[in-house]
Amino acid sequence: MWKWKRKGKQKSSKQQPSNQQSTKQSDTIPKFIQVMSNSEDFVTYTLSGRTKCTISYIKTMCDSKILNRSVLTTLNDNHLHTLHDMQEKIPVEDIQITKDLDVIKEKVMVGYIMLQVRDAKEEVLLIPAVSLEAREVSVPEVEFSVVGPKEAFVETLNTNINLIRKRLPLPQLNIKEMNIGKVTKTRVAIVYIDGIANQDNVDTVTQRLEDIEIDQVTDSSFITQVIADNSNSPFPQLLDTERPDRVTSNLIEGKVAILVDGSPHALTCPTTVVEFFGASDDYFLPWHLATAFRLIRLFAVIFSVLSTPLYVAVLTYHHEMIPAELMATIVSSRSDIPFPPILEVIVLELTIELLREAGARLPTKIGQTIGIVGGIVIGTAAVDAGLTSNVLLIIVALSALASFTTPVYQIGNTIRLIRFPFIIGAQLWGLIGISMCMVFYIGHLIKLQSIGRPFFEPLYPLRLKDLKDSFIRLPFNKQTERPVLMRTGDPQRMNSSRVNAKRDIDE
Amino acid sequence: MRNKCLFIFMISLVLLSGCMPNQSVEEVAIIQIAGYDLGEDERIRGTVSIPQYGKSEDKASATELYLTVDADSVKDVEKEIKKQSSSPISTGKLAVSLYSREMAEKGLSSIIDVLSRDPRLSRNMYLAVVEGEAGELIKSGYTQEETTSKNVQGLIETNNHHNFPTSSLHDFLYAYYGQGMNPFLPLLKKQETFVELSGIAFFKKGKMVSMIPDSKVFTFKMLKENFSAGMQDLPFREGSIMMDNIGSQVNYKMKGTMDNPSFEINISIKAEVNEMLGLDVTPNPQLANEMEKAFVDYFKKEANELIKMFKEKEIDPLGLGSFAKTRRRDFDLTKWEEHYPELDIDVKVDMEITEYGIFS
Repeated sequence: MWKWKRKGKQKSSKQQPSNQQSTKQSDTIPKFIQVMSNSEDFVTYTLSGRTKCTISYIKTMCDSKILNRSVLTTLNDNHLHTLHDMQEKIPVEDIQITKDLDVIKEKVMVGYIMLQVRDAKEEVLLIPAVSLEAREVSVPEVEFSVVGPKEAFVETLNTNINLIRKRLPLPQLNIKEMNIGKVTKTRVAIVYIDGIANQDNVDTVTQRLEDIEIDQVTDSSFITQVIADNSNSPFPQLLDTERPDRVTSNLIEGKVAILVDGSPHALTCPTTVVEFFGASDDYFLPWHLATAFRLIRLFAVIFSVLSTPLYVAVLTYHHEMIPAELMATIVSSRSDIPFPPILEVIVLELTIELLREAGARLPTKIGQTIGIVGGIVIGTAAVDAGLTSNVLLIIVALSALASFTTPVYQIGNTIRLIRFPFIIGAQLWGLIGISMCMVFYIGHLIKLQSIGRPFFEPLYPLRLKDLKDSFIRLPFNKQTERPVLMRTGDPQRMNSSRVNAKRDIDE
Repeated sequence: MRNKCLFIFMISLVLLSGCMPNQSVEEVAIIQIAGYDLGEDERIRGTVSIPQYGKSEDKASATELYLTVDADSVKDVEKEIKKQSSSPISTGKLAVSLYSREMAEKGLSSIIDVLSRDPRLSRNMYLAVVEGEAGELIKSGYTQEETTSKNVQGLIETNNHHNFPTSSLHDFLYAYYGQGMNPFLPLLKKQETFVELSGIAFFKKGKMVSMIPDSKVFTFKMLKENFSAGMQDLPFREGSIMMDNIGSQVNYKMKGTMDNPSFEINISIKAEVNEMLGLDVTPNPQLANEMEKAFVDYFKKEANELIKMFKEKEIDPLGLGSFAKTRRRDFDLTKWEEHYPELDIDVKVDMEITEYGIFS
C-alpha cells in the first residue's frame, strides 16, 4: 500500500546536479559554434574578399538589413585586418570586442553578429543586429477607457520602456535590467524614479527578482505569482496594468514598476486593495463624478460577492428577513423548484462560470454570440424548466455583471472565485456563516502585504491621508502629498499654497 | 500535517453542508398573524393564519389557511399547531398578535413574557386588543387581494402615522417594564365587512383596565408625543369644523419636590381648517381666532378628563413617572404611586390655525 507515495518520495530525494545543463555545453568558441551548427538557422562562413574573417550569426534573429548594408559592404570595401579596425569602420552602434564566452553566447543568441579573424582566435567582435518582430502599439483592450490616452504596452520591452520614458523625461528615471529564467533568460526591467521611490522598496523588488529560481518567465504574471508576499492568497499583490499612463502616474507616486520582455503588462508595487477598484478613467473625470463611480464600483463588488450567499442564507434560515411585499414573489417563484436554494445557486453560478470560460476561450465573434445565447436562452430555459427561480436568475446575472465592473482583470477573477466559500458558509450557518467567511477574508487581507507594505492600507493600518485617493478621489489640488504607503523620499507632490492660490487677472 | 488537517476540514465543510437539515422558505408555514382567545376550562384558543402562495402564474391572489387550536399556554399553541400543519412552522415573520378583550382583561403577563423572550420575533410587530373574538377577526378574510395579516398590519401602521399613538411590541415592552409608565394597545373591532380601529386599551401591568373611544384618541396622542398628522372635528357654533393637524408639540415640565410634585404639560398645535360643515361664514382671521379658542377649550377639557380617568385607574400611559424619574434623583416609585392620584397636572394648549384653504 501507498507504494506510489513512497516511490515519489524516493525520487524527490535524489538530488540532481543543478548546473548539469551548463557544464555540458561548450566552453570554447569552436565548440560553441559546433553546438550551434546543429540548428539549421545558424549560419557561419568565412569571407574571402578584401577582409578575411568568419561571420557567424543566427539567421532568424538577425536583421538582414544591418548585415547586408552595413556589415558586409564595409567588410568588402575595406581592408580590415584587426577587430579594432572593424569596430571603427563598421557603421553600427555599440560594437564590442570580447573574450568572455558567456557574453558571446548570450549576445549571439539574441541576434548579434559574431566576427572572428584568424589572428585573434580568442577575441571576437559582436555587432548588434537584433531584429525585433514587434506588434504595433495598439489601443488598450483590457483596461479600455473612453477618454484619456489610448496606448497600451506591447510585448517588446524596449517599446514599453519607450512608452514610459516619453511620458517621464527625467534623468532620475532609473531602469535596472536583469535576466530571469534559467532557460528563457527573459529580460526583466525594474523602473522607478530615483529620489521619489523609497530605496527599501526598490531593494526589496530587486532582491526578490534576483532570488527567483524558475526555468521560464513567459509573462509578467509569472513574476507576480513568484514574488508575491503570500503566494497562496487569491488576491493579486502586484497591480498589473497595460496602460503606460497608469504606470507613469504610479511611478510618480513613488511606486516601483516591473516590466517583463514578452509581456504586454507592467506590474506596479507596492499596491493596496483599493487600488484595484480605481480605474484610470477616474482621473480623467471631475472628482465628484469619479468618486461616485468608484463608490458604485465598490458597491458592485460587494454586491457581486454577497448577493447569492445572502439569497441562500435568507431563504434557508432567515425567512423573517424577506420583506412582506417580496414574500409572495419569492415564494411563488421558488415553489416550482425541486432543489434547495443552495443547489439552485450552485447550478446557476456554475452556468455563468461556464459561459464566462467559454466566452474567454472562443474567438471574439463567436464569443459574443455565446454570451447572448447563453445569457438569454439558457437563463429563460432554466427558469421554464423549473431549475432556478426568476428572482435568483436576476440576482446571479446582476452579480456577474457587477463583477465585470472591476477595472483590473486580476481582481475580477478573485471576486469570481471568493463568493463560493461565502455560499458554502451561508448554507452551513446562514448569516453567521457569511460573517465567518467575511471575518476570515478581512483577517487575511489585513495580514497581506505587497512588497512588505500593508495591502489593506488606507483602512488598516488606518491612514487618513491616503483615504483621499481610495474610495473617494479628491480633486488634484487636495492631493498635494504622495501616499504615505510608499514612504517616499519626497512626500510633497507640489506646493499646496501655490496650488490653491487664486490667479485672477486683476491681481 | 497541518495542510492535511486543513484539507480534510475544507472537504468535510463542503460535503457535510449537504447534511444540514434546513427548510427553504417555500417549504415552511409562515405565520403572519396570530390571535388568542379564552377557551374553555382556563385554556387558550389560538388561531393563526398561514398564507398559501400560489404557483408562479397566479402570484397575486394569496389564500390563507386558518388553524385553530386549544392549548394551555402560548408555546403550547405553537406545539398544537405543528400537529395540524403539513409543513414546519416559522414564527419569525409574525406581524400582528391579537388578544380578545376578555383575555386582555384577565391579564396578558404570561404572553408578554413569551413575546419578550423569543429572539425570532420582530420588535416591530404590532399587538392589539380585539373587541370580541380574535379568532373570528382573523378568519373573516376581508379582501381577496390581501391577507388578513397584511390588512391588519397596514391598518395599525397607517393609523400610527395619523391619530393613533405609535404602538409596537417594542413600545409596549418599554412601557411594560419601565418604571412609572403603563402600556397601551390599539383596540380593534370587527365590523361586517372590515376591521376598524375603535380606540385604545390601557393596561396596568398586564391587565387591561380601561379604554377610550376613537374620538378621544387624538387628544391622547397629542398629550403623548409630537406628531404632524391627524384630524379632529369639533362642534362649532351651529355646525362643525374639521381640524387638520400639521404640527403638534408636547412638553412636560415638572415642578416642586418629590413629596409635592406638580406637572405642566404644554402643547402647541399648528393646524389647518379645511372643512366647515353647516357654517355659512367666509373664513377670516377673527373667525380663526374664535376657532382657536374653541379648540383650546375643547382640548383642555378632553385632556383633563383623560388625566382624571388615568388618575382614577392609577395608570400612567403618558409616562409622567418615568419623566419624573429622569428629573429627580430622589425618585421613589412607591412614593410616586401614592402621590399619583392627587397629582397636580396643568394642561396648557396653544393653538394656531395657520390657514383655512382657498376661498373666493
